[in-house]
Amino acid sequence: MRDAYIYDHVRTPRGKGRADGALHTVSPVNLLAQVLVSLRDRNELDTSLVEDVIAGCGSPIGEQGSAIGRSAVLAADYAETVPGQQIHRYCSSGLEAVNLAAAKISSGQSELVVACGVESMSRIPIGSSGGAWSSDPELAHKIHYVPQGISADLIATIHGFGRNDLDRYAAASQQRAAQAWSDGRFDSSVMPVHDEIGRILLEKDEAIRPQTDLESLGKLRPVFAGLGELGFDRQAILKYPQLENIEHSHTAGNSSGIVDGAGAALIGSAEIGAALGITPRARIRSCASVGTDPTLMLTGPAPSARIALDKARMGRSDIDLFELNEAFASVVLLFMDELDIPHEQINVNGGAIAMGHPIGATGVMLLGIALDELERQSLGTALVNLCVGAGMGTATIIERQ
Amino acid sequence: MSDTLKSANSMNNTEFETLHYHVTDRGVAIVTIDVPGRNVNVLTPALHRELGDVIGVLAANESVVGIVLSSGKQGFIVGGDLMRIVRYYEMNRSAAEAYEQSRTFSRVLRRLETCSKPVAVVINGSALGGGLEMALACHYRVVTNDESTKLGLPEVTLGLIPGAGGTQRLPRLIGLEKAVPMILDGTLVDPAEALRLGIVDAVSNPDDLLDVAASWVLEQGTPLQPWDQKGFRIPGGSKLNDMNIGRLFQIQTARIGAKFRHNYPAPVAALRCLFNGSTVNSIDQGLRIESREFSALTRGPVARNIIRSLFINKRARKFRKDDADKSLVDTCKRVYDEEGQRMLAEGLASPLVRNAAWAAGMEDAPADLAEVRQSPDPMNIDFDFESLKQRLLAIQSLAAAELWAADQLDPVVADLSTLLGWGYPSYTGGVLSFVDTMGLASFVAMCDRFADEYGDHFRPSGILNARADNNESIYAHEA
Repeated sequence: MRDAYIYDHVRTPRGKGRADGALHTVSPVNLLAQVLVSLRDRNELDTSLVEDVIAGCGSPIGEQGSAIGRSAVLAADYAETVPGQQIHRYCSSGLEAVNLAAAKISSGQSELVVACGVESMSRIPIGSSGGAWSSDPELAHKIHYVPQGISADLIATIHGFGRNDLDRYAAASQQRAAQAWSDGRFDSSVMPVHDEIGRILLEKDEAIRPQTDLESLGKLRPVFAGLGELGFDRQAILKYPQLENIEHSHTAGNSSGIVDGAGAALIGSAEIGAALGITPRARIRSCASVGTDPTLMLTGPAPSARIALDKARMGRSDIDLFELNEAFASVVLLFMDELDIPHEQINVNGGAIAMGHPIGATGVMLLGIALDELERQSLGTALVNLCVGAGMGTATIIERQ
Repeated sequence: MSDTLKSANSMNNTEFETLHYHVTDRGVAIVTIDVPGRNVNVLTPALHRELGDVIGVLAANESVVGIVLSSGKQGFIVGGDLMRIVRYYEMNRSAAEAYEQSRTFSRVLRRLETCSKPVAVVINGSALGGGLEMALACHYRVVTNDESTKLGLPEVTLGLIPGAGGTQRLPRLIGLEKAVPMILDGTLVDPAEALRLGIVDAVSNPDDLLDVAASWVLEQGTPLQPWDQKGFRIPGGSKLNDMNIGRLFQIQTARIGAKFRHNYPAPVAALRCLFNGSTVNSIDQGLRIESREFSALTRGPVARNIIRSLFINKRARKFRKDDADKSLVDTCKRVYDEEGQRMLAEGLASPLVRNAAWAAGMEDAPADLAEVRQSPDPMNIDFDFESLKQRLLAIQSLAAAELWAADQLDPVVADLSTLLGWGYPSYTGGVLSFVDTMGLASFVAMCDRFADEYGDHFRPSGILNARADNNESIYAHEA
């Protein structure tokens, strides 16, 4: 199997995912097309060489429906011959797009593929695309479905992460994200989003609250206690009966934010890079996805990381930098415990708690953030990872070139 | 009598046993259901058959303009013949056979609503279960204003679901959200509430009911249900491309899971009927889905257990809570509490034991769990939850079975005492139905296994073993 390389990546800033969010007036296909245009222009790319545009999307319905990858190709004026598709693995859709692109390159089926992702959560609310897992009583009853927030609280309860632990982590995420922006660490990869008449709508992540501290976080109310009372807590207890109850400790402040955004990465073989005269920035060492208990749901990161490490014949100590999606603070704290990762080594530029989690786009955004940081610190390897709905985890290991 | 109802020839047709009819001068066939030998109308196989037959006769009669269904008794129809459900279980029918049987009445009602003549129904008193389902299959419903009248589908409280279109027609009539409490919880409504919900078209004083129904047939009667009209949509929406519908099913699934603790198959079967039935575009397909679910429940033990103990035997013995065998209840409570203490002594944390009791369906947790100081370790998953649940029930059933084996305990009294006077879970049918459902030999074998693992207090006595070896069963079973 030959290697797949990351040649470039670019992303939009993340806009608040509500009606007054800066990106709300931009359609998801337009948002994704702007990213594709930027990726093309930055690399002076002859788009007729692109053999697929794989788009991750978490709610592929309505204006995000029906192979938005192909729609974005047409909207971005890529060559008509470029096909496009859409893939879904909940929160890791964007990283799964990268992994599928890498598989196409490694297998020799393709030379050059765009992996991307998009989510306009202000226009297509999370959950819009339904799904048997959560909403078909036959399955939901059988597997004790609970919403993700309940799972996050369940993890915190089982592993003894208190409200303070979660809030402390969340405050650090805000500070790190604010610091990263003020240091200009994101400048080379975040492109401004324009409106129809060419004005800039958004240049920087809109949701960050740099002034956030433990005190302000402490005032927020737990979000999922009410849902728990409807029956979800007891559904979870039937599966985790060692617990007296579920401590509802996640709030809007220590969970990921709802935002709009898109991102893309250019993935190709060594040969195509040489032919085009572009330099690979990182090699994709391995990819993995795995299933875990759907009720606890968000514990996939560690097992998927271990599988990816095994596939790359690497050990935990071979990884210099970790980037795990901050879906909920408890998910990251658990992962740090399980793989023995110090806080200094993970999510060093903050994460979704500060900047938001545009479901289908987050994976490819994290990949880019990790790669930029490897370059900035002159480090070698990074493991990018997300917890995933319905009990899964997805991981990708990259090595700077 | 008003002009609408006048009939020169007031002779009743009497070829049927469970109903009779006459046709008014203006061509309204008034069908009166009057099941012989009963104080109230219940749905019997004869009534199923004859209702189908009379529809055929009247639909073919060109002088009949439309039909009014009514009751010859004080109430309308208060459900089905419960003894039949118990007998069906004992018969051990194949899935295909059970399905065909469950289709019978459902097909009759479908024929009723598609008979091409307008059908109105006079609900002169309580219409429950199959009675309300029959009314829902009519094109127009008028109900008495008598406030003591109840309308509803209480089948889930019997371990069943509505099996003659109730889970399909009610949501198509009033929307999924309003249908949920009636179908999943068996909530009953009075006439005013039924009108507000849209279950009936009119409320009338008892004297005018027939006239209102017959007038509707003559003046407005359309022989077409809303759901048989082109472009029909369920009010309030259906299908998962509507987020509100997704949320409804998520929350109801969680509520049902928590309320029934995964011990009762009926509520979740009802939920599947609502979901799958509202997702298919044809009511005929919805009715098939419902029949499949209904037939599966009649083959499982839970409906049999609930019906045999809490309806048939309770009524036959006129058993009330106060009649509970106090000494048996004390024995059950004692061995149950002791088992809880044993679990703590085995090193299990009290929340786990409490949750096992709750999940098994016990009303109360074993006593004195909270006083034992044991710090729960949420990471410790070294336990077999199913065994814990089973032990807490089995230890009580063993105590009762020993008394039964020594001819000191009547099974009916044992079951009703533990259900009504103690808090043993109803899905089992009671402390000895638990044994009966499993089979005495399997129960004794399970206790032996528990004895090997958890101590000799689970060891069945020689006499109980002997009766198990003898292939005896606690309740007499019809061949």
